[in-house]
Amino acid sequence: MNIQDFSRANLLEALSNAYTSAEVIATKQHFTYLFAYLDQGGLGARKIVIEDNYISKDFLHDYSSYYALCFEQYPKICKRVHFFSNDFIQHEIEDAIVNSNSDAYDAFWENYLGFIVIKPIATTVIGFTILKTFNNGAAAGDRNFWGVRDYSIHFFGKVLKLNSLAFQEQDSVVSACATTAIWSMLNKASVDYHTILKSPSLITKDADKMSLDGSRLFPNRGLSCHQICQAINNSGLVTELKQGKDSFDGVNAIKNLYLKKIINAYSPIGIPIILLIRVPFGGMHGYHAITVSGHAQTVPVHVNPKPSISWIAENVSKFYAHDDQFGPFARINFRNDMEILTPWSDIHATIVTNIVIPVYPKVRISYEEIESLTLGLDGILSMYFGGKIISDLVWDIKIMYSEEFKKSIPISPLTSVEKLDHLTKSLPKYVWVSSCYIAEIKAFDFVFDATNVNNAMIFQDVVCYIEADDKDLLLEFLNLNIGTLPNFIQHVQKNAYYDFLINNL
Amino acid sequence: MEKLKISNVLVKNAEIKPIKLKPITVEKVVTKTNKEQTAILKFKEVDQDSLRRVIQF
Repeated sequence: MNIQDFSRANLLEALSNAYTSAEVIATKQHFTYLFAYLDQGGLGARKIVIEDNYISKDFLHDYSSYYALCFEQYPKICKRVHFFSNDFIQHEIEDAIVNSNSDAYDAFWENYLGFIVIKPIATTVIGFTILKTFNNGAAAGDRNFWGVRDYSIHFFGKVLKLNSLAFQEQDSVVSACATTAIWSMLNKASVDYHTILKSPSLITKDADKMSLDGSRLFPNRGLSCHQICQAINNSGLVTELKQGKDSFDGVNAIKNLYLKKIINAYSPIGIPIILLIRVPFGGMHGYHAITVSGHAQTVPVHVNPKPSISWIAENVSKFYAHDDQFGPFARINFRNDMEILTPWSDIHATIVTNIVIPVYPKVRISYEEIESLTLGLDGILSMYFGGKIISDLVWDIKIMYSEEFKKSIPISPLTSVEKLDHLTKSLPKYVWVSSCYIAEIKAFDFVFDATNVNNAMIFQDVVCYIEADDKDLLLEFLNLNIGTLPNFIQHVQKNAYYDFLINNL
Repeated sequence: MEKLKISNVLVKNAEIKPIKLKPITVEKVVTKTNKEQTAILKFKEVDQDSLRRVIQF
C-alpha cells in the first residue's frame, strides 16, 4: 500500500505503468477529465492509496482472449488506485484497516471516493473504474443518477459501498467505444437476474463473427448499430432503436425535445440508455457511443395554454453520460433544437443520430405508442377545457414497475375507498403511466400495460385526482360526445379505449 | 393534499359546461392530432444505412 497526496503529478504517476509513462498519461483526455472530476472543484480528493498486485476479473477475461496470446509478455496483474477526500497519514489508515469492523472508523470510511484500475498495457490503461457521483436526488433541480447501482468494494478487508456505474476506456483491441458503452450499461442491467454481465471481449464476440467490412473482429475497429443491438440481445435484454427524422448537415438527427422525452420516460426502469452521436474530430466527423445514466430537471414552471401539447420532459436541462474517451458522468447540455454540448464539441456541432434503449424482454410496448395515445387523450381533454383554464395540460410519460406506481397511491388525495380500489387492482410488472397536470397539480394518471401487444386495448387503469363534481361534469361531456371524440385515439380499438375511459374515470 | 377543484384553475369569469360539440369542430382538431400521432410513430422506423453505420470512436 502506497499513500500519496492528491496532486496532478501524483495522479499522473499513479495512472502510469511499465508500458505507459506519466508523460503519455498527461496527453490523455481521460487524465484531464479525471483530474478535474476528482480535484477540489469536483469530488475533493485529498489522498491517493495505491494497491499493487490487484487481480481485475474484467481484465483477466480480455487478457486470456487476447493479450496472453501476444509475443510481448504482458502481465495479468493490475494496480488499483483509490481516492479519499480526507487527509491522513500512514498509521491512521492502517488503524482504520485493522479496526475496520469498529464503528469508531465509520467517519473515516465515509471519505472513500472510489477507485481506478490501471491495466498493464500500452496507452489505454484505464480499466474498471468506480467513482462516486456528485450529489444524487430525484427532486426537481437535483442531479438524478438513475442508471447507477450499489457496488461492494473490498479494500484490504474492509467492505465499502458505493452507488455508481462502472467505467473503463476502450482498449481499441478487444473493444471500441460501442462495446464499452454496452459494458457500462450491462453493469447496471445485470443487477436483474435475466441479464448477464460480460467482459468487453465477450461483448464484442457476441456482436458478430467478423467486422462488417469482412476484416477480423479483433483488433476491433467498432461495431455497427445492428451489431450493438445483437450484442445487447445476447446478454438477455432486447433493444428499441430510434432514429432521427430531421436533417442536420445532411445527416438524420434526433431533436432535443424527443431525446429529453425518451430519457425522462425510460429513466424509472434504471437501465442506462446508449446514444449514438456524431462528433467533430480533426475537422471531420465520426460516430461515437455514450451511455446515459442520469439527468437533471429544472423545477416545473407555469405553462400558459398553447396550441401544441406540453411535456414535463421539456424541463430536462442536462444529462450525464459515460464517455469512454473522457470519463464517467460527463455533463452534457442541450443547444438549439438538435445540438448537444459534449466534451467533444468545438465550434462544430455534436448531434444524436440514434438512441438504443435496452429493455427487459417483457417490455413490448414502446414509448411512441404511449405518446400517440397521450396525444389523443390531450385532444379529448382540451376539447372539454376549451381554453378556459389558466394553464396548459402538461403531460409526463414514464415506464415503471407497477409496484412503484402503486407507492404513489397511498400519499395521493384520493379517498380511502378509491385508494383501495386502485391498490387492489391487478397490474402487470411493467406499466406505462401518462400523468396529466393542470397548473402543476396532478389531475389524472392513465395507466397502460407495457407487456401487451400493439393491437390490443392496453388501458389498465385511470386514476382521477379531480373533485367528484368536476369528474361528473367531465363524464357527462364524454358521454355526450361519444360519436366524435373516440377519433382522437388513433388506434383500431379506439372505441374500446373510449369506453374504458368512461367506465374507469 | 387535496383533489384538484377545476373552479380554482379557471380563467376569470369562465365556466365549464358539458356540451355536445359540432362534428366539424372536432374533425379539424382530430386531423391535426392524427398527423402528430403518425409522426411520433415514425421514430421507430430505422433505415438500413443507419443500421450499417460503424460506431468507431
